[in-house]
Amino acid sequence: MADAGSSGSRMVMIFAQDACRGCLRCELACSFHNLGHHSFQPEASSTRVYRDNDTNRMTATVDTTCDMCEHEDHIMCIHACPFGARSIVHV
Amino acid sequence: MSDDHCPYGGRILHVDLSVGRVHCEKTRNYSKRWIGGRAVNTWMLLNRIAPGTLWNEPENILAFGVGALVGTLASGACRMSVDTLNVYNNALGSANVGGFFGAELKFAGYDNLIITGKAEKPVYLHISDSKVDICDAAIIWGKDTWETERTLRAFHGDQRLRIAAIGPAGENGVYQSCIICDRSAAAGGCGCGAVMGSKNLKAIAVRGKKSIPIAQPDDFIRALEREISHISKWEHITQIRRKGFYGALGGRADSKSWEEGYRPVRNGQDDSWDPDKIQQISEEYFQRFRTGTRACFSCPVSCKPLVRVDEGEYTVEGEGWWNNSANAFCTKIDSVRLDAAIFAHQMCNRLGLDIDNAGQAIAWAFECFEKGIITKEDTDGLSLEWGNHDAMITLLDQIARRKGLGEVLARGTVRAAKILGGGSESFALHVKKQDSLDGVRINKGWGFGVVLSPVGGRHLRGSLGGFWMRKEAVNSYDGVPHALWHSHNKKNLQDCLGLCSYIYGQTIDDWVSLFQAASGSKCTAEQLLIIGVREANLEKAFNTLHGNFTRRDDYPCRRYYHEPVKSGRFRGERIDHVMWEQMLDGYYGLYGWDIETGLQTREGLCSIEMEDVADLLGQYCRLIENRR
Ligand code: SF4
Ligand code: SF4
Ligand code: SF4
Repeated sequence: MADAGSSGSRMVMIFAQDACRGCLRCELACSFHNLGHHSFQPEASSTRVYRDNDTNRMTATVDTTCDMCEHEDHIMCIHACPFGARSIVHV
Repeated sequence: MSDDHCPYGGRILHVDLSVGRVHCEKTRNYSKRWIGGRAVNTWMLLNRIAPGTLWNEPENILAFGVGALVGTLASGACRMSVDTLNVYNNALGSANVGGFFGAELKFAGYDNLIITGKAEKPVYLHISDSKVDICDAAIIWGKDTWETERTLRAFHGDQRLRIAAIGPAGENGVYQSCIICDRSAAAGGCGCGAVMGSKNLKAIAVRGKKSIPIAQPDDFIRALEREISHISKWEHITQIRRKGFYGALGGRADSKSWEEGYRPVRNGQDDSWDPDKIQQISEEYFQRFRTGTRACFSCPVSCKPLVRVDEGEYTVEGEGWWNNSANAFCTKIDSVRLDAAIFAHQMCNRLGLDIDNAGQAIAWAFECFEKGIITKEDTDGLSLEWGNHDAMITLLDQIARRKGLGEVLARGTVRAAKILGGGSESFALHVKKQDSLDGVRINKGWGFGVVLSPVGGRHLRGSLGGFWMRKEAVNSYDGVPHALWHSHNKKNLQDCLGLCSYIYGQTIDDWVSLFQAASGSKCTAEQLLIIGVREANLEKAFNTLHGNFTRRDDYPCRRYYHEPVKSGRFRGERIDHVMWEQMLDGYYGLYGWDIETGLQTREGLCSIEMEDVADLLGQYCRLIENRR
């Protein structure tokens, strides 16, 4: 869904809808990255996960503020996801 | 950033519904002594409600308290305490709830929300950061909790609005009512839905954009890595994530829970069930109804099953099925119809009914029918024969709407038994007048925890510790007082921190490192656990002043002494009077309470720096000045 990266290879984030349990740990982790490791606030996350409470379906978005976690040891949202619902592929 | 109060929302919001006034104070005024969540709520209740106040009077307080670590990445940090006067006994009512609402309240900048007064007509609170509106609830009054969420999200045009609401049960002042957050997370027991209804408050809708600051981020990240590695090593974690607790553990046909008395049968006439019946409701059968699991906010466990019944008369889809759902809607009424039970659980979510309290009232009504105290004339022709799942579903609806027999049952079984008589009080299974679903005869740690819970008869106030912690045989009395004392204190602290008690693997050392790094405090494990001891004493003092409870209120009901388990591995097991007395002596001694009366002592309270509470109890002559 999202992509970033420079010349040549491109990184694309994949969201596995059926694996996601809606814990929003990815949003918390991303906000921590975006807020300079100072605080947590899902609104500051580049990725958002939505649950439709009628169908229980999960959907996710990644917006243009995502920098693929530059300068971090891990891709924060992937590292924080306990259920393996997020991954990166290089295309 | 020097004014940041890590890791808090920073403010406590007070709302007086009688005059429509809203004001704030700083969380800092309370957090040093009480950390957050439940203990701050209890402190407010103790100091601001006059003894003698009734649950449905405007002077009662309905307090919501979000734990200190909620809003961070700490695992399972999503819990909120709801504290108020208990509808069953006008003493302590206290519930704890997960989901997403608590975190959102904190993101709006509020650690606690303290509601007093009574609105003139039905209202809901709309909280959007510092903007707090008391709005007309005409569009949602009468609706169930799911419709309420749908309507408010559409009305405010915000699909991430988090809602805590009461259903018809709370509106109708039903004792078994609860507050439902995010459609399926229940602040259950103590009738807190009825308290909210008595204030004409239908719902609270919240959205927040404030960030939760962390004092020492690098240490916090290290603490997170450690706790996650501990949680991942828990032997059952993979199965729980796939199946929830019922599917992975308690509901398996080979689980010990069936023989160790956690699922009393036919209103507790027995604690053991026919193996053929167990097969019919066990995980082996249940799995056909489970379509996945879902997690609460920031939870790496995901224990909440998604359920779907897609054929027959009980088609339903929703979230949630707990070990106790099988007690309430299957074993207690001797029914093997899992589809009806799953339907009943989801009905409770929609109607805003507490599963345990509602299930217990129904089981009692079935036993009244068996004994001829209730007949078809009282039930409009409904036959309350054991196993009649249709009747159970009808009664749930009648209770929530106070219709038919529901009008009597909606007051809880102690009051219902006074109305119906005929000896029915002898099998009204309650603790401190609140109905109790849990079996106490076999597992003595669990049972002692259920009875000694400050919120009469509830198993989530430390009984889990009694269940897991002891090395002794389940039916042994050995080591129970100390195990439960420790487990109650631990649970109290857990609720102040806002962590879920189902995150196995997470250790107290993990809590300490997370809290130290998040807050910047240097609190040790010992200092933090003392807060758990203080919270136990706050609640005890509240119960003494408001319920006039003493040692005589800390016993299980008669059935558990006089009617032994009839079948199964623990046939003949019952509560032994002498052993129970010894457990009480031991437990009171550990807290420094007076052995004879069960009241608190000045010495005990002063040893944990609670002279002010001792003075308060002294004013009402409810303190033992010199421990005997
Ligand atoms: S890759 Fe990093 S910046 Fe992008 S959404 Fe994930 S956590 Fe946020
Ligand atoms: S962390 Fe993983 S499971 Fe949780 S909401 Fe994000 S993608 Fe879904
Ligand atoms: S373990 Fe279960 S109840 Fe606890 S926070 Fe996680 S999903 Fe919620």
